Amino acid sequence: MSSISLILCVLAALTPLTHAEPVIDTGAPGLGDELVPLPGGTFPMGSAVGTPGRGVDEHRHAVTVAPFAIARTEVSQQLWLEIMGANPSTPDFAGAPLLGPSLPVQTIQWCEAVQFANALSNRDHLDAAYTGVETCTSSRGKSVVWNRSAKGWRLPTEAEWEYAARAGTDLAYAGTSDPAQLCTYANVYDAKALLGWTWPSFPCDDGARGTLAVGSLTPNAYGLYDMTGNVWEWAWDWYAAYADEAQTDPIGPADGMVRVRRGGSFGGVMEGDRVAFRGWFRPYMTWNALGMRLARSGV
Amino acid sequence: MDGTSQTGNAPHSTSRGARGLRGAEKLPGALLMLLILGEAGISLAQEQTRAHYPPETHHDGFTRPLLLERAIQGWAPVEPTCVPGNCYSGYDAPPSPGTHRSVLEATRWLWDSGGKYDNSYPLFALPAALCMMAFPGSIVAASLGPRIWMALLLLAAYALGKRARGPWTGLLGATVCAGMPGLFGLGMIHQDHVPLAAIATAIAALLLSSEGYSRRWRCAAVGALGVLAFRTAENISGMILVSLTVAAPFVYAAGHALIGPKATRLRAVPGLMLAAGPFVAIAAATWIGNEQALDYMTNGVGSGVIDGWFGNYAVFPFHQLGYIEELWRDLLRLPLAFFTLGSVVCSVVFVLRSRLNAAGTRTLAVLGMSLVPLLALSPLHRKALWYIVACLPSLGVVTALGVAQLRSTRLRVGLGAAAACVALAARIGALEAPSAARDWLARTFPKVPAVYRTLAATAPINVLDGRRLIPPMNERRVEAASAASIIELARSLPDDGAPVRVLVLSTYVQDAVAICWMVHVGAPYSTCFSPMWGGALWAPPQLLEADRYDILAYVAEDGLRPMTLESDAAFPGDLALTVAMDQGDRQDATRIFLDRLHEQPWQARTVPTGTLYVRSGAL
Repeated sequence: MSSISLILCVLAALTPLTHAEPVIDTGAPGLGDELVPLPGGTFPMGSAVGTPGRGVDEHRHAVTVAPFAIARTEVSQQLWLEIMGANPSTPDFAGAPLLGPSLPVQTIQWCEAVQFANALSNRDHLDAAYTGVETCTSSRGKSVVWNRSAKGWRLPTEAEWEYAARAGTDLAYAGTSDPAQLCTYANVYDAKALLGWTWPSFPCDDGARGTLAVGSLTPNAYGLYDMTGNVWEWAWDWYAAYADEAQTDPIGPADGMVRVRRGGSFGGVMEGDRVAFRGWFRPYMTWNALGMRLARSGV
Repeated sequence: MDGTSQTGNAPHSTSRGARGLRGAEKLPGALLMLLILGEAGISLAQEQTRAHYPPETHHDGFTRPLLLERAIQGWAPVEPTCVPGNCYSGYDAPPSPGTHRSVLEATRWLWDSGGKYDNSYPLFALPAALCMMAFPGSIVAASLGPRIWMALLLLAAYALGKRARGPWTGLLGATVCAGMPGLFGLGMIHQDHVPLAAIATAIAALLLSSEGYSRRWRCAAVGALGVLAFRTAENISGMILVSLTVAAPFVYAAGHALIGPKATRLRAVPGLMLAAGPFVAIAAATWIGNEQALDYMTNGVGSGVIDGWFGNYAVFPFHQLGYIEELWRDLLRLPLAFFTLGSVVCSVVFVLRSRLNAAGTRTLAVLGMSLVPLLALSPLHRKALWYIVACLPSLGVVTALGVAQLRSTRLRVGLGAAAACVALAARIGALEAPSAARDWLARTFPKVPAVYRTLAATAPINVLDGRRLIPPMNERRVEAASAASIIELARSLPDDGAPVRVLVLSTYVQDAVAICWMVHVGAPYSTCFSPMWGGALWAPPQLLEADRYDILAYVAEDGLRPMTLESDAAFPGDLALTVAMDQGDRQDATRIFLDRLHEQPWQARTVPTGTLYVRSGAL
């Protein structure tokens, strides 16, 4: 091998270092690894008594979150494929297409989501946020430990997610409270979805039966896309009842049965698309309407 | 057992011979009648010992009498009456003279399976529903349907064995069939599978005795039965079973006709068309343009169906591993092993002794009818055991044929009598003994989970994953008392002409179905269902309206208790497992529905078995 080739090889190996820091707030939706830094603050988490569609587990309480950054979009199938080498997404559901590079990745376990976050941190030469991800599935999600001082990619906490989705407002959905206007902001179960469910649908048309390319619709006030609808997004927390008193940077209980999912999907019940709705799912199971969104600390 | 190699087609050459044969048939025929009377006796015994308890309930089989009864009474169905996967008690409006029930709607059960791929329909419930209309509230009606089909099954098995080897062989086959409910568990046999088994066996009997399709009325009967059998099957697995069960004698009989002289072949064509035409037509109408049905089967085998029954296989790196484990458990099921091994032994005897003469090929057809579905079905469905029930009559006949082939008269009589005694003892013992036997085995062999699972799987109700949800000694008493409490409440509510709506929540659908049945018998205008089985998961929107119910009952280990939200996932453990296994959307819908229920102003009422909740102001 000539010295020139050797130099080229060295340069090629060093190339990723020049991209170690992700692009921040470029304004383009991206594929799921472009961040929007949020300043942190205090907001009312949960929903007020009497709110239409309110769940019994949405006890309203004040929550303060530290500054953090959250991805502008959900993780796309293309990004997942680049990092993990295979796309686990379900191709279609009830005739609705769900497969495409710019569509959100879905059919991923919570365990795979944290593995993906670590793999992405590895690509970007960041400290991995999680340990114990290798045995996540066999331990039913209990082996994973979050190193909160790490600056690597991670899942948002439930509080961070709701803070980002609300974007300083108290709207029912991310971007609006009007069901008839929701399709401007969100890919939800609308009248034309025709997925065979028997529950009511939103009186609007988002133009899709299945998932939409990430970042296709109007973002919320923080510039975040699809905080309502498209696919559910895994959060870090184990599901548990909210605390009564005010909280600062809550991360959920240390153990549990199910992990939180947030945001609703293209086919869910109307109540589930509310920003205050708390969904849950077993961390070692998958579902074709459940994907993920990334976050980072210390950006 | 006469031991003669009497062939089905053999002409009885002399009147003396015919008289002799008629005489030889008299005793086995009389014994067969005794067997059938025994089935009637079981109905009467249940009337005495299980007042208000649905005999041998299982699954959603006992919701169908309600559906059909209401359809016949003229109750207007609400839409959708049926949704993919299940039919519901969608007849919630009282009869309205002059505006209800088109002919099409009244005969819906004949032509509409109710969903894209679930082919259930209430043929099984027809006798019970008709009898219920004649004798409202009679528990005899509930047992009538299974008994009628059981009688048909015994008659068909007898005819099959008799045609192949003689009346004693037929009697032994019928006796072994009569023992099946005991050997396989009461719960496993009494839904669609009894009519399925009876019809499939009757088809075989008619085909094998149709003399190469020369008897056209028999061919027409075969065609009609084929359609019924196809429509009876619970779903695609059952339909495949029917097809396979019918295929062997059908192919035999067709071949028998086609290899004959030209004149015979020509005569056989109309019969062949009469026999096969309706079945092929209805099958084509069902499958053409319905590709989703096949998706359902492959998806079910792949993950969803297997996931939900014995455990969660999502932890396996490949779902095939979970599937293999499930299949292994199937193979370990004791009753199946008992029957399979017995039949194989007898089949070996039969094959070794038989020459490929007409009678041999005929019995070979019976053998194929038994074993082909048996081998084909096991990989198909987690409920393979249930569907195997339908080919048990022919397995019984094969067993009898094998016994009949033995050279030694003493051996024949001894083995036949032993098989008959085992079958009858199992049948009689199954009336009350299984619970105690299962409990004893579970205590004695606690470290044999596969065996215990086998036993649990054959339990009729209240057993989930090897754990009893209701203590065995009290289960019927508790259920009856719970139902009685609901009935008492329902009757005490103000009568404004609208049916009282009872919602029964349960971790296991059988509990809710049993109680709902008893409630319906005692309070015919109540509406009662469990949202855990297809209810909230696939419910029409109106069923998810929490404020439409008058009485809320939660069925648990103590019979009835309030449903709490104390669980971290807002569900009791088993319920969470049930609803979490599939689409989260349905999980959300169910959960929201339950939340709404708890927002209703319920008024607690203490009853001997727990607590019932009644809408405040209703009392």
